[in-house]
Amino acid sequence: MRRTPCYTTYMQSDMNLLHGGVALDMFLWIGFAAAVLVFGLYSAILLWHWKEYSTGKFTTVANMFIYVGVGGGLLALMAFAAGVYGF
Amino acid sequence: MVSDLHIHAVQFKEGERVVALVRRHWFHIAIVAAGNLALFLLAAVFVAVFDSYLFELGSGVLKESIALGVYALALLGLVLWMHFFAAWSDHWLDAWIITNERVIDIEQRGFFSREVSSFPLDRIQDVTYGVHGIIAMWLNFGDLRIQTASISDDLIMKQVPAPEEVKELIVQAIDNNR
Repeated sequence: MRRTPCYTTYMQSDMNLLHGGVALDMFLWIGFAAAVLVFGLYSAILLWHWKEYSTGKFTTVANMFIYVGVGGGLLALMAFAAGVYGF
Repeated sequence: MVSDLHIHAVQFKEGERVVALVRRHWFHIAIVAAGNLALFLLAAVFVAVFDSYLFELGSGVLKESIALGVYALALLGLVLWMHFFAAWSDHWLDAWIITNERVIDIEQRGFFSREVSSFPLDRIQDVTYGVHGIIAMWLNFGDLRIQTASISDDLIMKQVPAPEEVKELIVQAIDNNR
């Protein structure tokens, strides 16, 4: 019979504890809200800089859409993962 | 070269004409992108290995573990994405503008620190450049030093693409200015 290494048992018991213990999904949503806030503020400052101090064609609408689009996509993935965790 | 520029960052004088706009070589930003990508891939491998162990054990919390992993990776990806765009913005907001009257050095440090220096062409004494290292040789970028007849520091343009051509542009602008 294959023996389970002790560290994997610890890993599993840690995960069980994590899942069954504190309301982690609440922390995930708080983390998500904080990420939305930080990303929003950061983006506002970044886009303002692009508008104010542009020295070339970099500040196109397409580039802004790429930045906000990918950032928004990652935030959506965070929300999805938090939703799956709590479901 | 400069016909499609939208330069808002500098106030030009009456009759001043932009000869060229120079930025650091793309290698600088490629290094940042590669570092961020490597960090993200490392984290993704770690999460995948962790979850595969749980899968092997037939763990009852595999779904939650995968969700946590995806959440953490998305958060890390967001932080790295923001860092990359800050670096890219810095790359694009920093510039050296060569006009028929002066060389302008725009240096953006972070979000709230910005320095714009002017070096009049008639005060420039010498322009030298150096290309150091195998990558710099291969991709053709190097540092360009402009010595002026003032007590302030020399202007050093770091990692300039095609430094020989930029030097020639400045020397030509100085000649035309005389």
